[in-house]
Amino acid sequence: MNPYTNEELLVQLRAGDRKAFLYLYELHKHGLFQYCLRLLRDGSLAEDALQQTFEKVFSKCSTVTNPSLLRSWIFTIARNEAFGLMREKSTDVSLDDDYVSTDPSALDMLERNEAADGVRSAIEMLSPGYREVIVLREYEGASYDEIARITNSTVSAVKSRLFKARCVLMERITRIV
Amino acid sequence: MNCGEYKEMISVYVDRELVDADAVALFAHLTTCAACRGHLNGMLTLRESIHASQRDDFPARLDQRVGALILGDRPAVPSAARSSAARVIRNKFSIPVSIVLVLLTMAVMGSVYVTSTYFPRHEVIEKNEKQLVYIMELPQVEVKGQAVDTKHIR
Repeated sequence: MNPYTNEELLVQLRAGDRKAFLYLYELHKHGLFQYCLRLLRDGSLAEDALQQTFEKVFSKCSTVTNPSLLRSWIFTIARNEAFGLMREKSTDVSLDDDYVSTDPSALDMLERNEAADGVRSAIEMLSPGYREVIVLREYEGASYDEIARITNSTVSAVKSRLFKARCVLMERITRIV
Repeated sequence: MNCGEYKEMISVYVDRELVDADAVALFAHLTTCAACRGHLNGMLTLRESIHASQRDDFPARLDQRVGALILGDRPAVPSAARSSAARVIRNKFSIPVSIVLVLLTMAVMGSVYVTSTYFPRHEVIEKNEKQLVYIMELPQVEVKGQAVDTKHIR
């Protein structure tokens, strides 16, 4: 049972209630970690991104006024942190949607892996722009509106990106499933 | 509407975000188009595969890191991100600092060169020596018939 409604949670967060922060963390930690992990493809960097996200949430939650936007606000912070780390790593920074990895070792791994691993590998081979909409929709169950807010995009762009990402995934996964 | 547009609509349909009017049009098309029916099956299978591939690989140590942050105890060991942030700061400022140092060095060397070119030290010394000799060799001045000793004049 949820100890807080969205409104109560926001009030408590703004008041600096540590229990409310822990609750917020428990509520979103899995989804945020998966999101960062899929974007960064590096476990330790995903951990750093999540920690930095909560540092920002902790210090800036007073700026949130609408309780229904809390989740998309946190995911937006996580996205910015993840892309910041990606830029530091200097790889994978392009959001070019047409990009799909053609790294032979990745392709080879895709061939060899079992179905579940193969699906994960296929998702990881997508461009960051495709990957994030797939993760937000399929793993986190975010609505089109939320994804548009998180990715600073429009609903129609989200629909289009999801469609294209799924077409790429279908093409790759039908070979292994 | 063509099959490409219906296929995009199928993607929205599997997300349960398709409005009723579009859903009616889509299903009318699906009754007559085997390719789009195949696409719908493919999309549904893909969704199942993605959900089945979901794995909870959440690291337990992260609870400690973030828990310490929330409860007020900062983690003692700096994270990889912080060290890489420091690296970025170093990289970001190392070039401007180097440029400033080079410019300062050039300015100092330039001023030394200009000083030595236009105000050579040996000429100044020579000039001073000549003035000294001149003062030392001042002739005795006669004032109203009295000789004045100029040796004490400096």
